[in-house]
Amino acid sequence: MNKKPIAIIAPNFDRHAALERIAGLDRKALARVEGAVYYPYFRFAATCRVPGLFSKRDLGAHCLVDGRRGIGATTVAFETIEEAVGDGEVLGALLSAEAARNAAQRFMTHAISRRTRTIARFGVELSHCGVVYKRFWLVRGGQHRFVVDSVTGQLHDIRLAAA
Amino acid sequence: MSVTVIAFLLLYYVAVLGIGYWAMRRGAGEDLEGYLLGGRKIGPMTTALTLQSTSMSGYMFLGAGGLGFAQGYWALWYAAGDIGGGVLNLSVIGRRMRKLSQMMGALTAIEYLEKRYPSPLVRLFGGTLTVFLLGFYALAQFIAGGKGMALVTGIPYPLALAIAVAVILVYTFMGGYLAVAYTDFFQSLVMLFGVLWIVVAALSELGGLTAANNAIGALDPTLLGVWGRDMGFEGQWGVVAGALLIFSVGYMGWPHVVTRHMAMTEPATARSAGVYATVWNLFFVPAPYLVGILAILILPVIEDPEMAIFQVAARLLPGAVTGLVMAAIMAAIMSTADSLLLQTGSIASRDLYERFINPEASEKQMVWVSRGLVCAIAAVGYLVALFEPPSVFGVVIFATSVLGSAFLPAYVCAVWWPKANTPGALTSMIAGASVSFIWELADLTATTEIAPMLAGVLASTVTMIVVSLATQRIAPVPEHIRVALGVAGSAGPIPAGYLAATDFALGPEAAEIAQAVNGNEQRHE
Repeated sequence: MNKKPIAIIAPNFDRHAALERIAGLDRKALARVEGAVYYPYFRFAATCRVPGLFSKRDLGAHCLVDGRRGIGATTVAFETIEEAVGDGEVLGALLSAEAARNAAQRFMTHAISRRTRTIARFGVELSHCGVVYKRFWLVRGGQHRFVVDSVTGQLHDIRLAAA
Repeated sequence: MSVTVIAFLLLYYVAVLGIGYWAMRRGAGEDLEGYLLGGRKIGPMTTALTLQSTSMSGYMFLGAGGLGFAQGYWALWYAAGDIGGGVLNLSVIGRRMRKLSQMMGALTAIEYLEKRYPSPLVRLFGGTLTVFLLGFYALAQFIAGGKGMALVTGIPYPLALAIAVAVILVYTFMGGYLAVAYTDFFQSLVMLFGVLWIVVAALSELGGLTAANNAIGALDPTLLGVWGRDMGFEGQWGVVAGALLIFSVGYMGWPHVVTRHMAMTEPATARSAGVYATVWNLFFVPAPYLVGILAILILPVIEDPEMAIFQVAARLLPGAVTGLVMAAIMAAIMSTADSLLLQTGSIASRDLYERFINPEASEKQMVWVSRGLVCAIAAVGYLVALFEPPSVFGVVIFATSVLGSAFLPAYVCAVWWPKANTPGALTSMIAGASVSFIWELADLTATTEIAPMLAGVLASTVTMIVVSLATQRIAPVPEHIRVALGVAGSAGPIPAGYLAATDFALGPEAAEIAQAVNGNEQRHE
């Protein structure tokens, strides 16, 4: 299998911690890690000046756009590390960089206006910081199969997701 | 004042307080989920009986008997809706509501609405309306409890009211939902035995059902018909539909009843709970109406028809059994009052205080805020009840009609219709509440022959469908909610531990990974 280096979001849950996460839910079911999948996100840094009642405020935030579905999310600053991973483990982005930028623009405008409760128009400046990947562990627990987020430890049943 | 009757009541109060203490020892108040939903560990039989006894209230012993006495067999239209209400409610909402409320992390019925229809306005409107109406409903139960106890024991009304409110308050305060559910279970059995005892006594007195019917027919044949005394409701299908609806589908819109689904051990609990609810309903529901009908012969002259069951019991039963029957009546009143008190407190604390005033409150703080609000609402209820506002049971019917009209489509669509969106739900709640409110206030039933509940439910349902479809482009249902609804319908049984741990915000990524992994596996095959 060819391996290539990619930038991944620094993980907090290694293979063992992911296994423990699932094993802890049902001690009777045998849990085992089946592998990992690397999921693509477009990373943007956003800045804007939001008009208030008496002055304008400068705001900055980081934004990740799901590289396959175009769903945006704000995020705190995070570190990335380089890791060489097999081709079969990496999911490719289905979105173009332009489509991701448009999604980020829409999402950040909405998120900032909601956070600052402003109804005035303001522009959001985005700078594209490349594609980063997040590692999801694939873990089997009894009859169930889960993805476990290596950054937050959140999990989701694959069978449910496919339903 | 009968010593035996008082002894039975005391025994009954000790039993319910004991259950409250036991629930507290089981750790029901250690965290918010434990206090508000009993840690979601309520089994099928307790779910069925708490659902039924909460829904029925003191109305069954006061209103149902009075209706049977006044209208004869016409009153059984209400019973017909009520008998199927439990199983209908559990089948339509139960299983899906249990899954979805846990997936979305909702602890109260109103919180679930905001998670399903994301907008603070949904919670603000729903929470405020519910606190207001359930507060009224609880108040009516307090008054009924105080009056019943004063009548039976002969102690002054203010003291009787204080005792009734204090007992409810203490066990709700101690054990939260767990105490409420298990006392409801105990109370529903007391209610069943109590009412069946009166039915058997009344039928024995009159020589059986056939003899009783013959005697009623000789008095006034219209009392045996389906249109009421003197055919007063002849052809009024709108009123009949309202009678059938209010206690069958109406329940689905009552937040304090919806909570029963959220607290079940697992989604599959709904199936067996439906069976238990139907069996209990078959025996219990027709009985108070039947006693009211038989009272036409036993008590030809009665000042207040709502006291028919009390008076039949006092006339036919020995002192000890009268005590049991009085305990049953208090049980019916208290089993509803405790649920209403807990729900009003939880919605005021979780959906209004935590959501809009102090979002940083810790779990422990919230349990105490919830308890504080339960105490405050009970204290206000006691003070208002002292003045005995007029037409209390009119207020109950009004409150339950408005609640059902406002929330019925919102809850049913929340678990069944993926296109139901925030504008649809919000306008549906406003339309349902307004129409039933105006219908009641302007007494439009007299001119239209359509009950306020029926008019309100029609308005809220049509609004939900039209507005949701019209606003799909500007307010689409979020992806994670669509995924959750799909899961609730198709995934089958999910172990409780896995379900609780699943984070549905991860749904889109998990769906993509599932597709990629399953695709790879199929290619390898």
